[in-house]
This record gives sequence, C-alpha cells and structure tokens, in this order.
Amino acid sequence: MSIFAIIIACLFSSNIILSNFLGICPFLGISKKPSNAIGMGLALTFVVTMSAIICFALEKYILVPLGLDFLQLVIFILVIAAFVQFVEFFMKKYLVSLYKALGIYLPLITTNCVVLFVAQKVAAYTELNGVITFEYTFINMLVYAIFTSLGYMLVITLFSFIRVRIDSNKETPEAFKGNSIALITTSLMALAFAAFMGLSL
Amino acid sequence: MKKLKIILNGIINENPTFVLFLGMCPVLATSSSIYSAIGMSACVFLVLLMSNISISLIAKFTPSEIRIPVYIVIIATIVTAVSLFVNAYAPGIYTTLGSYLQLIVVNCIILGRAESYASKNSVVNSIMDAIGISLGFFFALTIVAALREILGTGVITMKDLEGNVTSITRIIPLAKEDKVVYDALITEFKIGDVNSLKELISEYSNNGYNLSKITKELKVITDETYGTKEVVDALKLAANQSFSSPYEIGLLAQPSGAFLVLGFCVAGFNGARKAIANKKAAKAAESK
Amino acid sequence: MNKFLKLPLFLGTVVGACGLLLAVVYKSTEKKIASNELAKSNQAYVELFSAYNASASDFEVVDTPNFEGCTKKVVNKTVNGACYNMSISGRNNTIKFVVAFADNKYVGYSDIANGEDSGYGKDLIESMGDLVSGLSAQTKLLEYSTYTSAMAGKSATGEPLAKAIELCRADYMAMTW
Repeated sequence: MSIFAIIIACLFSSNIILSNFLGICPFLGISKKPSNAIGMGLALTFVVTMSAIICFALEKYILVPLGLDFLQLVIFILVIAAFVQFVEFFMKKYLVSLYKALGIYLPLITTNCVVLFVAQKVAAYTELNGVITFEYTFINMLVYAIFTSLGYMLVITLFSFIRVRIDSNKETPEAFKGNSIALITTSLMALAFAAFMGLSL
Repeated sequence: MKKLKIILNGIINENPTFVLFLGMCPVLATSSSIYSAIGMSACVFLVLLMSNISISLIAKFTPSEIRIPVYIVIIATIVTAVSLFVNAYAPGIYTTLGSYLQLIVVNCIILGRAESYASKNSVVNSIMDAIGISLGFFFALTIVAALREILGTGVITMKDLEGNVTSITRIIPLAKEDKVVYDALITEFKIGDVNSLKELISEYSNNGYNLSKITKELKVITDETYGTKEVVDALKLAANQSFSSPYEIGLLAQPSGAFLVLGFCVAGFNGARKAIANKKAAKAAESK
Repeated sequence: MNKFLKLPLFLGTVVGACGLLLAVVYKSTEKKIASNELAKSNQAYVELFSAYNASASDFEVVDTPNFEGCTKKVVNKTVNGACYNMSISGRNNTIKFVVAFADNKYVGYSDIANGEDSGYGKDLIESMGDLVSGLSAQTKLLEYSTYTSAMAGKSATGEPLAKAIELCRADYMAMTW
C-alpha cells in the first residue's frame, strides 16, 4: 500500500479504537480532560513507535532465523513492559507534571492492546518454500505505527471534548451516568467514522 | 457456602465487564456472533484458571520488585499454549477469534485478578474466583452477542469446532411474502419431484430472490445415497442463508452497534443491581 | 546474594522455564496444525470441482509459480483445471483462499482463513463464491461491474483480493495443455 493510503487508513477508515476496538479501557478512563488526553496520546505514540521498531528488529533478525517464533508473544510483552518502565523512569525525572497528570494510566500502557497489536501486526510474515517475506517494509512499518497512535490520539481528544459536556449534563438518567452514556456516544462517533470506509486510494 | 459466595461475587458485584469495566476490547470485538462469544469465554476461562493457580502458587517466592514482569511472562506463556492448542484442535474458533486470542495476555482482567486476588489468597479460593469471574464475563459477553446477532442478523448460526455451519435457527420472522416462498420450496421438495422444484426455483429467481445457495443443494437431491431428512435439513439451511428478514437492524452487526448494545447493557445491569440493593437496604432498615 | 544479581536471575529462570514449556507444547501441536490446513485445502479442491465429479486423487501438485502470494498450485489434467492456494494480507490479517479455474472459466473461490470484520470484508468474502463462479476466464475482476459494486465500502479487502486473483488468472491463461 502506498504511504498516503496507510496514513488515511490509520487515521480514519480503520481507526484503531472505532474500527478495531482496541485500547478501550484507557479511552473510557483518561478521556475526561483534553490536556490529559493529548499527553496520553503523545506518550502512547512514543511507546508504540519504539516498541514496533524493536519488536520488528527482534523478529526479523533473532526470532525467525533461530526458529523461535512461538516465543514471539513472551518476548514482545517483556520488551514492551521494559520499555514502559523506562519511559516512566524518564518522565519521573524530566516531565514531572505530565507524570503526575497521567497517574496510574502510564504503567497501564503496558496492558494497552494497541501496543501489542501494532507490534504483532508489523512482525507478520509469510513463508513460501522456505523464503520468508515480511509484509511491512521499514518505512511502511514506521508510518503505520506512528499514524495508528496518532489516530488513537485524535479520537480520544475529540471524545474528551464531548465528555466534558456529557459529564456536566444533569438530565442523564441515573442508570446511564458514567461509562454507559460514554459508550453510547462512542457508537455515534463510530458511525460518523464509518463513513470513511468507502475511501479507496 | 463461602466458596459459592466468591463465585456469585464474580458474577454480580464484581462483574468484570459491567461493573469493573476491565477487558472491554474482547467483549466489543468478539460479540458479533454467539459462536465467537462462547469460544472467547472458554479461552478466557482456561487462561484465567491456569494463571490464578500458578500465580497463587508462586506468589510467596517472588521478590516483590519484579512480580509484575514475572506474572506477565507466566500469563504470556499460558496464552501462547492455549492459542496453539486451539489452533490445533478447534481451528474454527481460532479463525473466528483471529488476533484477539493473543490479545488476552493484555486483557486487564487476567493481570488485575492476578495482582489483586490470586497473589494474596489460597489456591482453592483463587480457583473459585477464576470460575466466578469467567462466568460473569461469559454472561456479559453472551448477552451482548445474543442481542447483536438476533436483532442484527435475525438468525443464530451455530458452527462446530472445525468452523463448518451446523445449524441456522431463524428467530426474527421473515416478511409474509418471503415466508410463502420459503414454505412453498420446502413443500415442493417433500412431494419429491425434482424437476418441478427446479422450475419453482428459477421462477422465484426471476422475481428477484437470490436462491443461488439453494441451487447448489439440488446436486445433493439427485444423489440417492442421501436420505430425505438430510436433504430437507440441508435445504432449510441453504434457505435460511439466502433469505433475510426486513425487521433486522443491520446497524447492530457493525462496529458502532457493538458500542451501542454494550452501553445499554451496562446501564440495564447497573440499574437493576442498584435497584435491588436499594430494596434490600430499605427492607433491612424496615425490619430493624 | 546481591540484589542486582538475584532479580534478573529469577526473571531469567522464569523465562527459561516458560520457554521450555512452550517448546514442548509447540512441538506437540505442530503436526496437527499443518495437517488441519492441508485437509481443509484438499476438501476445498474437491468441493470446488464437484460439478466435474473430481476426487482427491485427480489433483497433482506442480511447481509453485513465482508471483506474490501463491503458496501452492495443483492441476487437474482431466478437466484442464488449476487451483491456486493464495495467502495475502487483507485489511486485518492474512486472507488464505483457494481460487480455481477450469475450461476457460472461473470455477470458484473457497475461503480457508480470514480475519476480516463482519459487516465489511467478511460479507464480501462470503459472497465471493457466488460472484466469481461461472465467469469467463477473460474477465478481469477489477473491470467487472458486479464485482466493483459489491466491493463498494469494502475496498480495503476487495482490492487486494482482486489483484491476487488477477495474478492467478494471468498464470492460468498462460498455461498450455
């Protein structure tokens, strides 16, 4: 796929939250203030991109040549956990306000489905008579990782603006308050983004 | 009785989807059909049971600084093992779940229960907790999947472990004109004249019905080794695949329908739970 | 023992033990997984050619052609037919399918594995059999109006499928009997 097609697909037509249902837990939790949402999105972009590069390199140069493909999940999740730990340590020292704002959600990036999904998707390969071809070239993989997480940031930022209004609305029925009305609003957003499905480049 | 209370706790008061909001990603993604819902809950149950047992066994020996990476490695091993077994012995479930099977490892339920319950309780209590939480997850996921499949497609499609369709049960009735066509086809077949059945099918096809799947079954009719009952069942299966009800809500089969149904289910469940709790508290206050 | 030594050692032991366990499980399920896939594609060949009453022994494996995505090619000499096992990347994961030609016509499409979404790509894949079977082998799918209108809204799945089938078609047309 061309680079432009990947960018449009990641941002709009196959957005990782609204089409692939990944990363919902922080989406419902962090999206109460727009500044937190943007900070979370930028932190996630950094973690996703670096994890994708490291995991792609690991798969291509170590796991596949040694025939250890079944250890892919264990190794990837260890790499991601270690990397998030490193980012947390770095933020505690140099970006203290953002660290305090993200709170519990920073270590929870480890269990964010987006990171593992992108890492596993870029490490996919097909084997043909012993010849291994990876489905993503390096540039494609970089673009895919960066723009998937930017698409995530786009949706949670948009949603946080809406959520401020929803949470301050006094007329929501008692049973619907909180996450329930947020989910119903998300379905309307997903409908809106589904209009991009017909885009073909 | 105390053990049973742990199980009930997992289903009602600490239901992972409706109350704790953990692990929403598989609920939204695999609720498109009841078959995938049952497959996903079975896999989550296996993983949760084995991870609770192993973590409650080794929790005492693990140094507390590296307990999270150790738990994650154990859970990742269990998930890989389960996914290899499912790929080998139930390939239908494996292709339906796709990449969401491997994403069970980052499902907050597993790590959350390991950290908050299994590492602090005995093995037997952890097993009860795993059963309770998985039952709660199964209950939540099946309700969402049932609503989405029945209201969205009108039929319940059941497949076996290989992924072949075994039965299609129609729940939402067809429109009157379509029901007439469907009954006429089945009756005509029972009379036994293959040629008049072929004529009837071509007549209906010219009127705009897509009966291409039924015409494939006609090859089965001419083969005398099949009994009548098998062929009638195959004909009904094909007919249920070809017809669609006008009362279906197509939106529910799409991604935005998943969010919608889940939002309403969460509201319903929590509303009912709070109402019952309020009634109990009012009764208790009264009897005092 | 020194703390900085004890922690990585513990973690390393756990990873090593898990790796060994996984190796055992992998080795014991490897054969069953491969045989499942082989059985499914053999069943697909027989089903696709059911109009010609072919049996499993009529198909012989030939050298895999060089174009992208093709994993296997089998030929049925009695009806001048060929089946191609393809593995391409669709919108979500890999799509594996078998496409068959015989008698200068498309015989059919059989889905082996796909991870597309229901309501979008999955619906297109389920209707591929009806769209494709019986077409003349001169038709290019991307120029066939029924296909392009069926593909509307699902082009992220439909276009890679059509391109892959086009490669198979070109190879079939170049075959000499």
